[in-house]
Amino acid sequence: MYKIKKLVPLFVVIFVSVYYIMTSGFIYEVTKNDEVNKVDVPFSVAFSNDRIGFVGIYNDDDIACAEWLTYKSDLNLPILVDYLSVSAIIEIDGYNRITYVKPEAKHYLFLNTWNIENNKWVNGWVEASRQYSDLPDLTNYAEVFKSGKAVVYIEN
Amino acid sequence: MLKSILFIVSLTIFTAIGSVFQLWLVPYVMVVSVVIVSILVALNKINIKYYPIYLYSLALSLLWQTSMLGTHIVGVDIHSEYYVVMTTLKNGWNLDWINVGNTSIVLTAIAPFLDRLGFDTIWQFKILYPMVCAFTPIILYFAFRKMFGSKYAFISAIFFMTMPMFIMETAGIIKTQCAFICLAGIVYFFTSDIKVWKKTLFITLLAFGTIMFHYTIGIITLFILCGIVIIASITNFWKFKNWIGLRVYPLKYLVIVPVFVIGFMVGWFSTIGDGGILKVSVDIFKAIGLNLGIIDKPLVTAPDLVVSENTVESDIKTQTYKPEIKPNYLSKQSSLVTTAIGLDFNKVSNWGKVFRVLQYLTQLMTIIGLIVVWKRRLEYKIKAEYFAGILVCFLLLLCGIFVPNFTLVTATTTRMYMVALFFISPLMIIGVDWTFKRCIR
Repeated sequence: MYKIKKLVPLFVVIFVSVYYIMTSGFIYEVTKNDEVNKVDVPFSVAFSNDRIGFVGIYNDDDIACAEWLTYKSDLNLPILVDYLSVSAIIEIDGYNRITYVKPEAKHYLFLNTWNIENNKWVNGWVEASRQYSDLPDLTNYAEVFKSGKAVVYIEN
Repeated sequence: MLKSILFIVSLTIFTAIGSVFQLWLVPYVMVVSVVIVSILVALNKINIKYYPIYLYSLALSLLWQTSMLGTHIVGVDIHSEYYVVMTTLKNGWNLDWINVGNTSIVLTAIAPFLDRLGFDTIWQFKILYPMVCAFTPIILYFAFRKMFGSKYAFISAIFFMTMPMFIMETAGIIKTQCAFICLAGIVYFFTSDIKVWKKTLFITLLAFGTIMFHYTIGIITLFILCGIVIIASITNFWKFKNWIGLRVYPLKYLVIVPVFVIGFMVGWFSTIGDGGILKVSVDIFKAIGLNLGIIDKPLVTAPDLVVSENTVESDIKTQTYKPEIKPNYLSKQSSLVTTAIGLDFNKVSNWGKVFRVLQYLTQLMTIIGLIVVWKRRLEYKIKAEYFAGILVCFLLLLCGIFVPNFTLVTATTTRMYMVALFFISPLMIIGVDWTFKRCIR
């Protein structure tokens, strides 16, 4: 009984460890869960962001597009972005020209590397969940700037 | 000593470099490291005097496994914060600029100053502030150690730092990283035995720090301090004096703290940003009151903010993503709250159910721990103010569950829970300990 009592801290650690393994995103990743529009199993950026695009992990090409939009584009035109791309622009230019809803007037469209590689548009964002849709229809858009896979379009 | 140093250096360097190159192995190594170190501590294989070193390396590595991903900054609020720093570098600190980030001296003074000295802001955000924030669990370890012993203090700190809110959310908000150090210090001094005047001074200055670093954490800290004073006052008579723990902090000194903090907060937020945060704070209380009064009717949120260069991302989120209409009162709460109280159990996968069972168990263990710690408050030498802080944090969590839209108009569910864990994380550990001991009897 004394020996078992000495192991109680070990039981406590095992309990905490099991909980941590679940909340770390490990289970979400190894089971290849892709549920993100509600909290199913906890996911993590470190394990799964390349699949789920929870936050933007931008490369130089994404930043190049954001800088082009800020400094070289027509500053009178709004920029249509999803919740993943927006952060690349707001850190340079704030929310000045950002829109999440397709404007009636002429506008730019920014697709970052993750959008292109995963063919997804993050159109909803609340606490620990995201919502995806297909990329916008590019029929009436022309490419105006590209860096790597990240691309900026303008509506024709 | 050498083994400890080798561990901290190799783990943190591996995490930093591996994350920059987005090496898939990094998070797996972190999970294994946390579990193995915790088990070694439980089996007395690590010398107690090295606990802080191990805690720091694990905390820093957990933060870096998110913040160091790629070569650019990672997170949600962090991009708005970067914009504030760049704007300040270009135009100086404009006190009239209505932007919540503009009220944080990290973004308007410290980061721009270091940038001018040659430390690029991007790498400050990725490397430096997580290094500061990683001291938070260490400070909490020293606070909890006095009451629960080194081993359980260590495990409590591990429980705290392995929360997704710490690893992911905090890693992506610089203001929070700095404010958390101050809040941890407040918890430490409430549990300490230093002279009363020093305790009052340090707690007050640290509370000022939470306000200067992050308005949300500052306001929540003030709420907690006021709650502590109220509970300490109510129980300061006759045989109730030891109801919530040892009385070593005279009430007349304790009252000084929130008084000074309120004065500082009003002064700070009036001077910077044209009082915008004060106005929103008043509107938030009005919104909470209205929501309480009309539980079954459409909910009222904080007033809409015009989307402009001054609007922060979190405000846009609540405006453009409308949750579906749900039939009953509690199911209208945020998704994380409905998860915590079991309303979505049948809607998730089998692994989701496993997670929820574990989550309910941690919640149950925390409540058991609360009762055990209260019953043994004199044995654990619990300070009355610290226990009062625990009760206030429970009140915050209950508000998050039962007050309509509470976490939408105040702070997010994750932030509320993270702040509560500063006080209540040992309770879960004590609850598990008590339960296991009961089972093996």
